[in-house]
Order: sequence, then C-alpha cells, then structure tokens
Amino acid sequence: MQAFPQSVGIGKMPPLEAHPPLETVADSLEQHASSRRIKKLVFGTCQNSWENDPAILAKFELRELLKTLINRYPTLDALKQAVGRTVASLNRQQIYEEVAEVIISQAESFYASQSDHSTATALLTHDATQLEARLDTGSYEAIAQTVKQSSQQLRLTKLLYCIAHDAWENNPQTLAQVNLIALIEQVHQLVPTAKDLKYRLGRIIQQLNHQNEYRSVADILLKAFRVLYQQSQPDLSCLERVDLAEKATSTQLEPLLSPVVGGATRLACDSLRVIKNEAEPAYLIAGPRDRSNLFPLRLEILKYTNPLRAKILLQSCVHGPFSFTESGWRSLRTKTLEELLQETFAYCKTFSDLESKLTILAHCLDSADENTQVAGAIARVMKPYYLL
Amino acid sequence: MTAQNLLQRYSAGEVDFRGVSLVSAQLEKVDLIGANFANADLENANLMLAYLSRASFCQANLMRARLAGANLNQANLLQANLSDADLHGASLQGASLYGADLSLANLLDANLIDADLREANLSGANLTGACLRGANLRQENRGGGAYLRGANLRQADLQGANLRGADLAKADLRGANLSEAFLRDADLSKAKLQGANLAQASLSDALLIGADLTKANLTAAKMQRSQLMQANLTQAILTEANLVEAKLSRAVLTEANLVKARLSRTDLSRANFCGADLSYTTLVDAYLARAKLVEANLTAALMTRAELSSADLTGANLTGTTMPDGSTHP
Repeated sequence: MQAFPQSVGIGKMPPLEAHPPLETVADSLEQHASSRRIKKLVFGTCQNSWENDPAILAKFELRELLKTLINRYPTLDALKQAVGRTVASLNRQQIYEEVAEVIISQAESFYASQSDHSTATALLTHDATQLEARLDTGSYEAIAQTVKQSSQQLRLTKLLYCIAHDAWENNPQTLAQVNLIALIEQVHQLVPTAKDLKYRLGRIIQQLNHQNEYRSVADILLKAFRVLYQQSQPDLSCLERVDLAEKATSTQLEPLLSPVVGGATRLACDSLRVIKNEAEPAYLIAGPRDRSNLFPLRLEILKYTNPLRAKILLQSCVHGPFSFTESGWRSLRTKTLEELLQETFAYCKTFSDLESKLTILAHCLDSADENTQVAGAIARVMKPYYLL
Repeated sequence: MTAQNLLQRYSAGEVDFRGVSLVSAQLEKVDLIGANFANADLENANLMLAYLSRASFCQANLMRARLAGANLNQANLLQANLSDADLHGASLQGASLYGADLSLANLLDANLIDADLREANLSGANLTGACLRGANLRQENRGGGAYLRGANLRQADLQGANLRGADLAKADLRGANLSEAFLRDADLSKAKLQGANLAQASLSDALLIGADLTKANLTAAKMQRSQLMQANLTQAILTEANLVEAKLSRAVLTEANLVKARLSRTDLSRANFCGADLSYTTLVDAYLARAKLVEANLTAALMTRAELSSADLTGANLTGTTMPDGSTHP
C-alpha cells in the first residue's frame, strides 16, 4: 500500500481518531474507582432526581447519560454549574465534590476538542439541527393536539408541567395559561429518550395519590411522544451519502484525501446514523399494559411455566414462603391465579421490586432450580405491565 | 406393584405398565414421561407435580388421584375416570379427555388449551380460572354437548372455545372470557354471567332464560333467535349486537347500551329499558307491549311497524326516531 503524505489536502481537519470521543470519556469514567458514584451523579444531574436503586441505574448507559448532558449544556461552564447544583442538594457534599471534579476534568477534554474543530462541528450541528428542528416542530404541535383533545387534558398537562418545572401544579388557571407546544418542546429537551420519559413519569407517579389513574395518563403521554422518539431517521439523500461514505471508508485512502467539506459531510452523516440507531424498540416507547384485563398475562404464564408452581411462587411473594402443608394447600386453593397476580401488582410497586422478591423466594422454596425457571418466566411476562 | 418397583422398571427403559395396580401409590414429582398406564388402577395415587406428558391413561382409574401441578400435556386420558381428582394448576395442554369422567374434579387454574373434552362429564367440576382456549367441547352427532351444568367457570378463559350445544345451565361464568366463543344452541339458562366478556360470541338459538348478564360485554354478539326471557342485562353492553327474532320478554335492560343493535322482530314485551341507550337501533316489527322505555334514548332508532301502543315512553328521547307509522319524530 502506498504511504500517505500527511501534508496533503487535510487542511484543518485532523483524522477522526484524534478526537477524544464521548465513548473514551465514558470508558475512562466507568473504569474509575468511584464509577458508581460517578454514574449516580451524572444520572442525578441528567434526570434531576437522585436514584439509589442499582437495578434502575443499570438500565441507563453512562454513555447515553453523558450525551444527554453534553447536548443540554453547550459549554463546560454550564455543565460545571449543573453538576454543582446537584452536588449542593446532597448530604455527602464533600465526597461528591471530588466526584464532580473527576467528571468535569474528563468532560473538559471533550469540550476542548469540540471547540478545536469548530468549523466541522458547526457544519455538523447545523445540518443535524436543521433536520431535527424540521421534524420536531410538527410533532410538538401534533402532541399538543393530542393532549388538548384528550379527556385527561388537565392531568396530562400536570405531568408535563412537573417534568419541566420539577414542581407539582394543581391550580387549573396556571395550567390553562401554559403554552402547551413550548412546554412539550421543553420536556423533549430535558427528556431526550423514551426510556428517560418512562423513568421520569414513574418517579412522579410514585409521589402521587391517584397512582392507578395517573399510570394510564402516563401511558397516553408515552404513546403521544412516540412520534418524537421514532422519527429521528435521516432522509433518503443522507442515507445515500452514508453509503458513499462507507464505500469511501472501505477504500482506506479516500476519506483522508477528501477536502474539508467532504470530511464534514461524513461527520454529519455519522451523527445522523447515530440518531437513527437510537430509534428505540417499541416496548420501551409503549406504555405499560392494561392491568384490568389479565387474560393475556395469564395465557403467557401458562405458555412458559407450570400454573401451580407459578401460584406457589406468587403466593410466597405476597404472603411469605409457601409451607407445603395441608393448610398451605387449602389456602392456595381459595385464590385464583388472577387474584394472586392482582395482589402481586399491588404489593410490588416497581418491576425491580418484583424481580428481586421473586429471585429471593425462588431460592427459599424447595426445588430451587425449577423455581428459578418459574421466577424468570413470571418476571419476563409481567414486565410489560410495569411502567417502572 | 409398588411405586419403587415401577420407577426402577421405568428407569431401566420399560414403558408398558398397562393394567397395573398402584392404588394410593406415592409418586409425587416423578418423571414418567410417555409411559403407558392404560386400564391401570391409580385410585387415590399421589402424582403431584409429576411429569406425565404424552403418557397414556386410557380408561385408567384415577378417581380421587392427586394430580395438582402435574404436567399431562398431550397425554391420552381417553375415557379415564378422573372423578373427584385434584388437578389444581395441572397442565393438560392438547390432552385427549374424550369421554373422560371429570365430575367433581378440581381443575382450578388448570391449563386445558386445545384439550379434547368432547363427551367429557364435567358436572360439578371446578374450572375456576382454567384456560380452555381452543378446547373442543362441541356437541357430537347424536349425544348432547359438553355437560357443564352448574360447573364453576368463574374467571375461566374460554376465548374462541367451541361450546356448541353445551349444557351450561346454572353455570358460574362470572368474569369469564367468552369472546368469540361458539355457543350456538347452548343452554345457559340461569347462568351467572355478570361481567363476562361475550364480545363477538356466537349465541344464536342459545337459551339464556333467567341468566344474569349484568355488566356483561356482548358487543357485536350474534344472538339471533336466542331466548333471553327474564334475563338480567342491567348496564350490559350490546352495541351492534344482532338480536333479530330474539325473545326478551320481561328482560331487564336498565341503563344497557344497545347503540346500533339489531332488534327487528324481537319480542320485547314487558322488558325494562329504563335509561337504556337505544340510539340507531333497528326495531322494525319489534313487539314492545307494555315495555318500559322511561328516559330511554331512542335517537334515530328505526321503529317501523313496531308495536308501541302500550309501551311507556315517559321522558324518552325520540329525536329523529322513525315511528311505527313511518313518520319521523321531530
């Protein structure tokens, strides 16, 4: 292969590998000794709420959380302030101040590299932003229309308001004055993925009195926002450009020989490709399934496990380990699978709560192997019925 | 034969245990997949949580056997005697139970998906919460349909089940799922169907005399010529139901939703429709002698040639209703 003359044609564009990409920042933070606290602090700043449950934290990738933060805070200073505000709200401020420093110092190199390549970045951001803006404005209006036409308009607005302002507003007059389209846009910026929205809504609902009613209201919201989270697909012309860029990459030499603009095009398309990949699976976007009709859930349970073992495990989950005595059997015969499922939903408020209880009880009962299989099957089929 | 003896022979590869006697044997959680127990005597045997899929119990005696949680998927239970057996939470998916005696058996939350239950005797059986989707309970050529008189089917899942001509008189079907079920000619007299889902079910020529259908969902149900005398349909949903030539005399339909229902040539004498929604219904040639339509909504209903002379229409909404003489009410 021909050696490549470094001085030719690259102009201000250094090779892509010279960027400290977000992945590198995320990787080094994940390998840090305080990685758990780092994730908690990044998560807390991102979601505006403190989360201690490792099961919930595990559902969110540090990389995605960082990306959200960097998109939200365009300068290092803005990020610094936001992280600082989160730390100030904590009990163990001293420890977390050190954690914040680690995050900031890692992010610093990323922001620095961005300003170095401001030309390319500007092009990239311009292209992508224009496309996104075009797609979004129409969607905000459509969502606002859905909200206005819903019989649950007031509750929907309350939830949106709570996400945007971090405060519960009950005054119908205040809520009536809200510019719905602007509010939806604000929520979209704060909550860039369906997963984030699901999490935020779950957190809010946990604090409310009418949880069941608000669960179905949240469902309406999740469905309405689906259009925003699914649409981030590039148009055809850009897809073609991606193809071209990929072909170019395969020839090894061409991308580096291309002039600045060519490089920027590839960058823009790369970023769009990332957005495209972010289109989330349907189960994340859809709300929880209807708990008032459990025939489909019961059918799923029968498909994947033994109905009696399922009942024993659910009974244990709600009322303590099953005794396998005559009186234990008698009491199990007084309840239907349907009733036990309803009791389980009432008792285990979140999915991680259910999952951990099932796992623990599977080990407490006879024939742990069989019960572990049953616990896994039950958790899997009950998951779509949980918002969180 | 002892239980130990049986298990030794099975693990040595033997599967033919036809006609053996294992009365009251302790066989809890055993694995006897595919074994042949045709004509065997297993009365009162304990087979809880046993693995018995594809085993044969053809004409075997399993009276009072304890089979809770047993896996009997695709087992052959042809004409087996399972009376008073405990099958709580057992799995019988695709099992053949043709002509089996299941009287007084406990099938609570059992899996009977795709099971063949033709000619089976289920009188007094407990089928609460059982899943019978795709199960075959249909009437054979000459004999009656499945015998489920007085059976307990509360919360049972019978979606799409074939119950043609089945005897379900006085059965408890509260909260059951009977959507798309085939119940033509079935006897559901005095059955408890409160809150049951019968959407799109086929109930033509069915007997529903004195049945309690309070809050039942009968959306788009096919109920031509069905007999609903004295049935309770309070707050039931009957939108787009087909009740042509059905008999509803003395039936209670207070606050029922009958929007777009077809009620031509129906006998509605002495029926109570107080507060019911009958908008856009077709009531051509309907017989409404002494029917109570107090505060009923009859907006845009078609009542051509209907017998209305003795009906009580106090406070009824007749906007755009086509009256018996063909005129349109203002």
